[in-house]
Amino acid sequence: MTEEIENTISPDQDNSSVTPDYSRFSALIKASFIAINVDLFLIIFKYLLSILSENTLLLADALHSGGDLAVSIMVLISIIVHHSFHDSPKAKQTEAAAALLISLALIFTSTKMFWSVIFDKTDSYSLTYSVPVVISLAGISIILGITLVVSRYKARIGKRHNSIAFVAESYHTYSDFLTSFGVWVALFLGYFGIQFARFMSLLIAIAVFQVGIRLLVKFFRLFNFRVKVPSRVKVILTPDYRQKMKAFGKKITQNLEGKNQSFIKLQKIPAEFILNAYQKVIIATTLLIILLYIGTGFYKVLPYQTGLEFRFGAVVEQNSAGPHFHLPEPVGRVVFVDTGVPIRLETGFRTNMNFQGKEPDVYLWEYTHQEGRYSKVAEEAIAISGDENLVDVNFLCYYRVTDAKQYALGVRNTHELLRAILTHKAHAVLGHLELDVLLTQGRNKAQDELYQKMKQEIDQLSLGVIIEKVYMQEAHPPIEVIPQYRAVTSAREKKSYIIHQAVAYKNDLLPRSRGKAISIVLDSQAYAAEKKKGAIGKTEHFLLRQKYFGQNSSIQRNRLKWKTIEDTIEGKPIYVIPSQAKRRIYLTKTY
Amino acid sequence: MKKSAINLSVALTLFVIFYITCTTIINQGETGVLLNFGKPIKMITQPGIYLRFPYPFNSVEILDARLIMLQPRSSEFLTADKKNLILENNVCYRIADPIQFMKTVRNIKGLEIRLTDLLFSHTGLLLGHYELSDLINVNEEKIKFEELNNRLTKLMQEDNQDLGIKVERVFIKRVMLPYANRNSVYQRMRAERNRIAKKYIAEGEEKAQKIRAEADSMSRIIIAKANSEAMVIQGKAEAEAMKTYGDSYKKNIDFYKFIRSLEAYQKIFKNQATIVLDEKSPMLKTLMSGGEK
Repeated sequence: MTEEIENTISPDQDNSSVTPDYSRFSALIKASFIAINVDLFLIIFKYLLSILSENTLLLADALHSGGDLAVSIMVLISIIVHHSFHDSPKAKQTEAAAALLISLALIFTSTKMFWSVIFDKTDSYSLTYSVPVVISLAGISIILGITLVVSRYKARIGKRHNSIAFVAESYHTYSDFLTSFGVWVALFLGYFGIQFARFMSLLIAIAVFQVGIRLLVKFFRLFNFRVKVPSRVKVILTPDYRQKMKAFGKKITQNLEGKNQSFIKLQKIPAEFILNAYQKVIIATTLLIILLYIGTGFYKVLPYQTGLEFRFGAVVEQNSAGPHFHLPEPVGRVVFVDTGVPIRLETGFRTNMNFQGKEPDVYLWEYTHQEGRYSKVAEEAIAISGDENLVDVNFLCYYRVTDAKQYALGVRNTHELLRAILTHKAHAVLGHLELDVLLTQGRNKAQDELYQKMKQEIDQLSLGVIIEKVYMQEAHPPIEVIPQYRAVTSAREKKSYIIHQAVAYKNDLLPRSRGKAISIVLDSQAYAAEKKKGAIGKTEHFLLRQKYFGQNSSIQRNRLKWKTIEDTIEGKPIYVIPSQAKRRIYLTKTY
Repeated sequence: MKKSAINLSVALTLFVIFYITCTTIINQGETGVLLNFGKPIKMITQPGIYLRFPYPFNSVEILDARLIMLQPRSSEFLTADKKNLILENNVCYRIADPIQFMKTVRNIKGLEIRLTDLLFSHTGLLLGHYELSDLINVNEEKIKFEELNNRLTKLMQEDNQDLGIKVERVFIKRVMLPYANRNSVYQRMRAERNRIAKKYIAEGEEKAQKIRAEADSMSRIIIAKANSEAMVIQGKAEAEAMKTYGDSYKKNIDFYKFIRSLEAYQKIFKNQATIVLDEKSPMLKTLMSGGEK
């Protein structure tokens, strides 16, 4: 490492006319190291305290101190950068930038805190009082003392050496002090049964916000501040880098122990504080890794899901749709549960949701739930009906998760348990239904009864789900007897065929008969009319002739007699036989 | 700075070692048992992070605290009326006393064997008091299926306290006949269906016969009615005609007789006939005598 540096930087630039403000720099560095060590101590202390008192709040506080550590390191870096490049006008702003960052972070945190207290329904600041509160109180008291002292110290150093970054850090530590004080008060009051946590959170938020604003105002006021540093500084690296490094380390230790005051009067540039390329890469990589690690904590909950957020194994939040953050592994993790969509439960068959193949044209009884996208679970499907017949029956049930925590963590396999309940209740319901009723009009009744029974059982077991609907998806006789069932249907058809034939005969015969009857009656009526009219006509004829006949009786009689004879014998062969004839005449029939 | 980096990395390493060896995380849905040199001493039910001594001194056994369902294979039992039935029962339980649990059965596998034994023996015992008609019956009031289930649950709850578990519920998931019996049921069902089919056809024939006979009789009745009506009409008409004739002929009976005889002659000789006359017949008499009388 040193060789590379030696090659890249020439030793000629050793002598420089510029003298930076070393006393300020070393004082700030010293303070920074103190701050970092205090932060490290606080992290471990708070962590141990949280385990000892089983208080998750303190654990969160410990993690917060981790953030404080990062801030301290950032301030340290800003001071070093500032000092190293103080000939560049931009370098002067690094401290200011650090201060600005801290002030903005404070304002942001306080706003978020305020927001969550006001609008969040879940009481994330609730405290548990069953734990030894006294230990927590004592621990927090110590923390309070430390933070207050450190805050004052930082403020003094910052003011004395005109470093805004340090002033900002003092404000930040002061905000931490306020937070811890709030926790202390809440715990103390909570110990006496007063629920003060929520209100206290509000107060803390306001206080932190005020601190942030004060810092911001200060930042703008000091934006144009001038540091009493020479205008130009040459960066020098000498071959005796290692020795210098060692000497500096020794001096720092001595200084921290308060033995050597000469460190402050150091007039040379400590080359060790100038970041070389290698160190830059290391720091950048480390920061990147930390960022990526923290990045693993971001997660997204889909609209139909609930995200159960774990922290040290306990579920701390149930998040609905949207982006969220959990502490990275191994502290936090998240489990997703589908709560928005109804879940489908099947008995007697299983559906292959990703089926791609060919389906039969019609799902006949022989292959329903056996071919195509379904697979049958034969032993689950078969059941005994009330009249001791066997029946092939499939149920479908839709349920929704209402309590994601209970659903995912209260029961090992809720889905399978629900299937067991469904089959159990199905047997109870089918056990008193006749097969023929079950296959036809009893289905609805069976469905409703099953729904009621399942609901009751699930409420008793508190599984965190509600049943939306139970369907008797299919009920048909077992495959073994299906031909006979079809034969019955055919017989029923044949029956109606026979009856229809008979009705057709009837429908054919009766109208014909009625027609015939009408014709008979009409015939007779016509005959009657004929008879009557004939009689009238004949009598009229007779009477008229009689009238005429009566006037000239004998002549008429003669005339009629001869007329009749004429008419009668006209055109007919006549044989006249002599009256004395002895011979017999034989006549032959000629026609 | 280098020193602080070393400090930091050492602290970090120590922290990680501490985290791995001296803490245990109990998740939601789990129960932990703190073991002191392998001896269970404390039960941890609340989820969270816990401190402990490193391995050889302390270790933590983590058990499932959720509701677990045991699903043994179905098996054959005999009812009170000596009928074979296949029953599949599921037991829902949770580990209530992990220390007791660890002492008696060690793990879930050991528990499942014990619990299955218990379940089979209790099921067989109880089913011996029930007849098939108590489980399957068209009459809903006579069914004691739920009662059997509840009794089984109660028996299972009472008889396994030494296992460290709490039985929540037992479900009789399936009641079925053995394969051999199923075939005879199928045969019966087939015969029943055939019977129904035959009945349908016979019913059809019956109805058809009835309809045909009805139609025939109705038709005959209609014709007969019409005939009788016609007779009456004809009779009335004839009577009227006769009356008319009678009324008019009465006025000149002599003439009627004369006319009627003439008509009769006309009708008699209407068809082809050969007339043979005697020379002295009155018809020819005038002809022969030359118009003299």
